[in-house]
Amino acid sequence: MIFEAIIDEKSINISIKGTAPNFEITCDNKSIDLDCQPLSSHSYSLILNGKSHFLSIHDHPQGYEVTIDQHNNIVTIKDEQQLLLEKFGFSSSENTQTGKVYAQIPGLISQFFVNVGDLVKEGDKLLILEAMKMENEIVSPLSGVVKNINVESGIAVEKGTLIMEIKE
Amino acid sequence: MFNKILIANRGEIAVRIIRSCEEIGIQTVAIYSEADRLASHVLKATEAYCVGPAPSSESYLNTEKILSIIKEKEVDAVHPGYGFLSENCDFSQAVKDAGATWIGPSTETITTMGDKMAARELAKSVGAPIIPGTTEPIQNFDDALKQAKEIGFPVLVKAAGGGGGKGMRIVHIESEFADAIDRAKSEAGKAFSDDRVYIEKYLEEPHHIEIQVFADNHGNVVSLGERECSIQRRYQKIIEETPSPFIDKKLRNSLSETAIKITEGCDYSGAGTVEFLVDKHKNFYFLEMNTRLQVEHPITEAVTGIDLVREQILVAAGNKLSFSQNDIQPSGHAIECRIYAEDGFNNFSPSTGKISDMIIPQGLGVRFDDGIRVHQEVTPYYDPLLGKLITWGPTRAIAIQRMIRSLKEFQISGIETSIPFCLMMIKHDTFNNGSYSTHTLNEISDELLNELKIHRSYCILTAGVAAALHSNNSKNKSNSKSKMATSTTWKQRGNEENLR
Repeated sequence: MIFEAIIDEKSINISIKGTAPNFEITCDNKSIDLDCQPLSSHSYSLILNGKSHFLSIHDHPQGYEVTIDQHNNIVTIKDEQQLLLEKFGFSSSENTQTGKVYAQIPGLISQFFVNVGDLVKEGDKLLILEAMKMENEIVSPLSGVVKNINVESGIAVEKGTLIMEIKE
Repeated sequence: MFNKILIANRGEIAVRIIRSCEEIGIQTVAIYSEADRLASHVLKATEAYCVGPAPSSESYLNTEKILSIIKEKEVDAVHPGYGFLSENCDFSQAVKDAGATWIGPSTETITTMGDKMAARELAKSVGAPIIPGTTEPIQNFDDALKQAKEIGFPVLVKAAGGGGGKGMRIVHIESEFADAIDRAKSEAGKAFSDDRVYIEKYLEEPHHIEIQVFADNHGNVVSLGERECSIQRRYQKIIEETPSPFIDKKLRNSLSETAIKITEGCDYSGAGTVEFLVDKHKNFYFLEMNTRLQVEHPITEAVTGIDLVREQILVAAGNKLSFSQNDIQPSGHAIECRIYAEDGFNNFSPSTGKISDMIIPQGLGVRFDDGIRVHQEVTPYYDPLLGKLITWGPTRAIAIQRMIRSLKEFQISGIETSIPFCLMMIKHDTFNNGSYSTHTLNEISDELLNELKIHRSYCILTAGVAAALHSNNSKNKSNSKSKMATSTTWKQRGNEENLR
């Protein structure tokens, strides 16, 4: 996976390969030696290039709050999908307030998880939009009822197509 | 001895008082606001009663409600802590009228020492030096100049109406005097609609040094030595230590003798603090007396081994002091860092939110007086003091090393705290050399800010990698969950088909 971490307006490109605890990690194309062991659901022991760090991580409106060496760092993480969406000129947080679900990238709707009239919670999976050989899960921006679905499964949609509407 | 003590306070000091009561075997009554239902002091007390909504004026200062609890619940003594009602003479009298004991000095003493002019007069009458200055506002320039010469330059021209540095001018030489008065008057007039100004001796590189005194109701008065409190931001203390690296034995004795005279002079009882300003030439001047327990009392406890809260309770119950002046032989060195919910590197602005995680330092010579717990909400209603970290060492150097180690060990997530700021300050040369005054923090704040930025940049890469891994982990977890959900759906679908 490729991530972009943004801290104090500084950006770091991070690539993670392999499985825990022996990840292969590069930061801004430099390889780093890392052993990461979870201590609880929100704390880790990290040995990074031989240096031992204890840190705790909690959700934050902008991403995560990482407490390390008395400092609370707010880190925004963008994953591959978000980076791709941005490349196409969309912000993944764009539809969060309205119930309108648009195709953020041109692609093929391969599967719907909901029908008209279904109750959905914020974050529930609505459909899969396939693009660039990647399956993108589109989740509900809010909790409510599926008011209408404007397209059928299996068809290709253009960027910006209104796929469905969720009513609070 | 008392059966039940009501603690008219919250936060770390309420917890601190409960601990001593528990040790003596006295039941405790906590009071709390609606915002503090789950605060530490409520969880630790024997009994707890709500005294009103979140704002202090409607809860912790709601004297009517507190007095009714004192009467109804058969409370036989009240410990006010510091702040809130601790120096409120009307409340102390009302507590006595309600039939309970006030753990502190008499109402008359609180009244006298709470009035700046009366306290100054009392100090003068027992021979304590006070800062030379005019007692009346300046009427005409010639008189003012005459007085300034008597006081001796440098002098401070000070607004009668306010503070915060507005309408204040330091005058080093006579030729600057007229101009300074004009500008101070104009500034004060604009800021406080009051252009009256005073002149006072300007103290060079002043130190804020206070003496802990203790008196009983049998005529015994003892000095427990000094505390150096010159590391201040916005005129509020943040780091204190004892003994002071600045003063010598001779000055220490003079300060103690003067503090004892003032304590005797105002017929004191219980724990009190006499505050002084000491200039770089080691001239000292009486500032004020705090007629209550002080925030920074634990450093005195660390070097004397005396539990000041226990002693307050015993003295209030009529006991003689458990120690004499000869028993006070301070040992080693103690430092306190105040852990505030504030961003030390963003103009000390208050920080509120939920404490999501906390690691409290431990080990030899370390004490943390806390009023917080994990998952507690830090609200904007009260003083931002979360707790106090105190380290002791046989020498100053060891106490400093322990403080640095403890601050490094300390982690609080969810809110900003003064921990990183305290660490930078303790590590700074001015603290290490003991060569700081009340002006130091202002002078070095930019330097500290830069050091913090450098320090912080070291952990950016680690924080970024950790957040990416955590995000990756969470994703894998939710994926495995959804896979399970899918397979269940498949199974259901299959079952349904079989039923057809």
